[in-house]
Amino acid sequence: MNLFPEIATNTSSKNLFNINRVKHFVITLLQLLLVFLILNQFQLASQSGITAVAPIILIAFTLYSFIPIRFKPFIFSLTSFTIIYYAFGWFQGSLIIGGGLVILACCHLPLKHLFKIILILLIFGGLAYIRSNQLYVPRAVAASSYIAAMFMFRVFLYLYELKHNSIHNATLWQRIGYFFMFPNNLFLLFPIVDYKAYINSFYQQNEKEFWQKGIRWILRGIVHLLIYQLIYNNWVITKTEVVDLNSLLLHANTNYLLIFRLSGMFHLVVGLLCLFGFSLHPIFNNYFLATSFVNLWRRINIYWREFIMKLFFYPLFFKLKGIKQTYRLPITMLLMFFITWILHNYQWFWIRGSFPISVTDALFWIIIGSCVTVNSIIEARRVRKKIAKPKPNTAYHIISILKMLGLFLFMSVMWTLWSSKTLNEWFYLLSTAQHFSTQNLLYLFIILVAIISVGLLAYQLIKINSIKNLIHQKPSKTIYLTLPALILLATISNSTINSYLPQIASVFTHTITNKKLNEANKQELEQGYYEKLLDGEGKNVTSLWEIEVKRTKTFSPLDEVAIRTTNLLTRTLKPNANIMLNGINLKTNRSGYRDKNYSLIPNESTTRFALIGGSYEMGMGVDKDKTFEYLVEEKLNQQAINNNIEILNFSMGGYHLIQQVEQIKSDTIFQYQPNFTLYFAHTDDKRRLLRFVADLIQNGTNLKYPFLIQVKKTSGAKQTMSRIEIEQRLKPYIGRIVKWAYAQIAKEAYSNKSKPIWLYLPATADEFKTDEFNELKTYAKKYGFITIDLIGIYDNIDVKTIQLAAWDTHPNEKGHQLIANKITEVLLKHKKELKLN
Amino acid sequence: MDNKEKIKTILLDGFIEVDNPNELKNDTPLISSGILDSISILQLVDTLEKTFNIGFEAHEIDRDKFDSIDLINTIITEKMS
Repeated sequence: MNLFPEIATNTSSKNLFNINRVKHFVITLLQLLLVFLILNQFQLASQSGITAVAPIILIAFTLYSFIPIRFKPFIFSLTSFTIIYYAFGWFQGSLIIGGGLVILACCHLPLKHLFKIILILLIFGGLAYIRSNQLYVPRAVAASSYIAAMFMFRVFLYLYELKHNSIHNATLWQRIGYFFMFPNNLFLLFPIVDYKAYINSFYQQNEKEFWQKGIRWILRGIVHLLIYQLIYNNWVITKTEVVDLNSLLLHANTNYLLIFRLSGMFHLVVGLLCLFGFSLHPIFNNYFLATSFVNLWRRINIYWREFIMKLFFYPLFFKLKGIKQTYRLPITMLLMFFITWILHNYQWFWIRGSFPISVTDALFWIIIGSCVTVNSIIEARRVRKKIAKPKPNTAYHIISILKMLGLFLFMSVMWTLWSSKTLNEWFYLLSTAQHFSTQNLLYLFIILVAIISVGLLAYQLIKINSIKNLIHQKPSKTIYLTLPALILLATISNSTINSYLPQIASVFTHTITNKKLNEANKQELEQGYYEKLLDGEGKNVTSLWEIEVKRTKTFSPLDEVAIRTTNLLTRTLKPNANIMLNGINLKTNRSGYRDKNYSLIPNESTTRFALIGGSYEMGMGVDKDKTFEYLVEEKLNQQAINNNIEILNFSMGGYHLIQQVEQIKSDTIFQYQPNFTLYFAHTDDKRRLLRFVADLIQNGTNLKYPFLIQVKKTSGAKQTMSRIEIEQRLKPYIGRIVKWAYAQIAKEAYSNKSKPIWLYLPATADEFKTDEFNELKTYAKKYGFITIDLIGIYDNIDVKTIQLAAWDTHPNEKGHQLIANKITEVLLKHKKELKLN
Repeated sequence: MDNKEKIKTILLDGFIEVDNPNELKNDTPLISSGILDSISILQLVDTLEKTFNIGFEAHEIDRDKFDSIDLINTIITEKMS
């Protein structure tokens, strides 16, 4: 068997070192290098690991470009294998590669087509069992995700072409390369590349053309990712912040616009494939310019549509031949959208490990499917199309712009449905549209006029011959555009160079790279800390999906030590427990807190602090002797001359002010007679508290305290309401709840002869909010806390280096060390007051 | 009337509007240019089946086979023979 047979292409392997060819290669390589530089400096797609494997891709591209065509598919697969082993190590890498090759081999067993499909489905069933975390095999879970990402759709396209025998000339390495496309190792959510297009497009164009076409697509992907990051970092607002028509439009539109991330990533993927000789057709076609539902369906994620048409729409249409023509098309189309819905959930399952069928999800696809179907039927009735299109006038352009805008607004509203947990929530969100003022409407009218004007200007511009030529120019003729654009982006994204540039450049870079988690995603991310499993929200694939995959590997066994309660504490830890939690030892004392046992009565020479806090103070993710609480105790004892310092840690992951009031009102803390009650406040405490109180109301927990019961009553928040409505109703009362809680803590502390200390520790992932800080500090002072703050603790530090992981922003060992040093330093400043001599 | 003429007549009667029939040439791209879309292809297939008394299968509905009068003629000739 010849492992490297000749491949019929339109490009010759002769003259590989021709000077002209080498020149074009060098320019392409230089541009690719700039691409990686930009991706790295702007931190675009950083979760994918693309910049980490950039050297592998650059070496592979160079080698690939100077070997005969018949060896290229082998190098293409080898690149993928190298990245897999680099990212996953030998064991997991072998699982992925071995598993993939087994599935591919099954497609070629001497069995009937139907039996092959059954066999593949059985294998997928096994993988699904692993993926759904039914067994505790974390490394196999991750491997199953990657195998599924490569095979979940492509294997069916492959089997389809095998059945119809439409591809005769594919070599073994081409077949392997089809599944093991190296960009798929970086992006789990991957465009459904058609097998026939993959084989037929291979080296069919001039290299000069497809190299530059690849660079153009990658550049387009970068632009989409920059737009995404700009919107994500600056304009996205949460559902809780939606209060009127304008904020509803802002929320809906910006969330829909986040699809730029998906198109950006897909352009990167298709562009990379193009550089390796797969000159595929475009995957998106200016979808925001769609003027009808059918038009949108044809422009957005074209590969997905083609996959659905090929495997389902056409076969169904032919199967329904006996049905009356009037019904045949709508029935086929509706069935096609039903399948699309199922397949979206199927895809989501492999990424998230659950199969979240919800009413809102189903309704989304029913509405979209119905709109496209009705639109198709109307279009099918006026099928005669002109070859030479009539010259459009201004009125035609204005109507087109209004259609685009209308469709954009409709899709934005549909996006809010898709991301709503319940219909109730969606209806409530839409109901905010009834609140608007004349000023609001005037503002919207001005935006509308501005959009129409910009649209008309764009129509005029594309009529200019030079611009028209530019748009339709051959890729190879556009190097003079792409190269300077890449150099410019690489320059302004470099922090050193950026500081010498005019202010506008640094403002631009800052708005793009200021990658603090925005409010919307912070809510998603934090929910995962406090709950065992996510409950399936956040379906817009544009944000946290990569984090989700990685998170499932590490977060789950806390429930082994947690006891759920129905009171305000919501959960406590088992006393005297000793478990390993994600490789970290978690040991609790007799009171159920992560600390050693202390005597109830302190020695005379002891200064005792009772620390109350949340997951930061508990030291989630680090060993006990690496927590800042442990380190501070140790450091203070080294400094103290006469006194013994004890810090009793009563903090607990997921505890907020309400739980801390509940803690302090029980005997647990003051039975130890602490001299000081050390309360930790953090950035964004009010938002966390808001979510927690909303949780209590949503779960129907008894609020116990008359003050809280009164707040619930006055705000009108009820258990039956949607989550957003509860939060919106509670929002005006959060400041008062904080004040009340501080008063309770101070009162209890003073009555137990313990001086309260308010220590403000900024969180690593949140942006500092001066107003909130001042408000909290004022309350603390009012109720007699000694106030200490650690503002600026992370200045001049890359916070990523002190976080546990991208999906867990708790401090790591280095972070705890930093916090411990700072706390020791500030506490020693209050030496006398705190009896630390 | 040969097959290509018949195909052209079908296209002009039901699918494409032209000021001058000569605008539609045997190699004019039909799908890649956007003149025919996936729905009109299915309607065209129905008409071709009836006119030429042949049958198509789902997997044959492909841009490579329906993108011009020449290509449509090729597949019809194959089926008729």
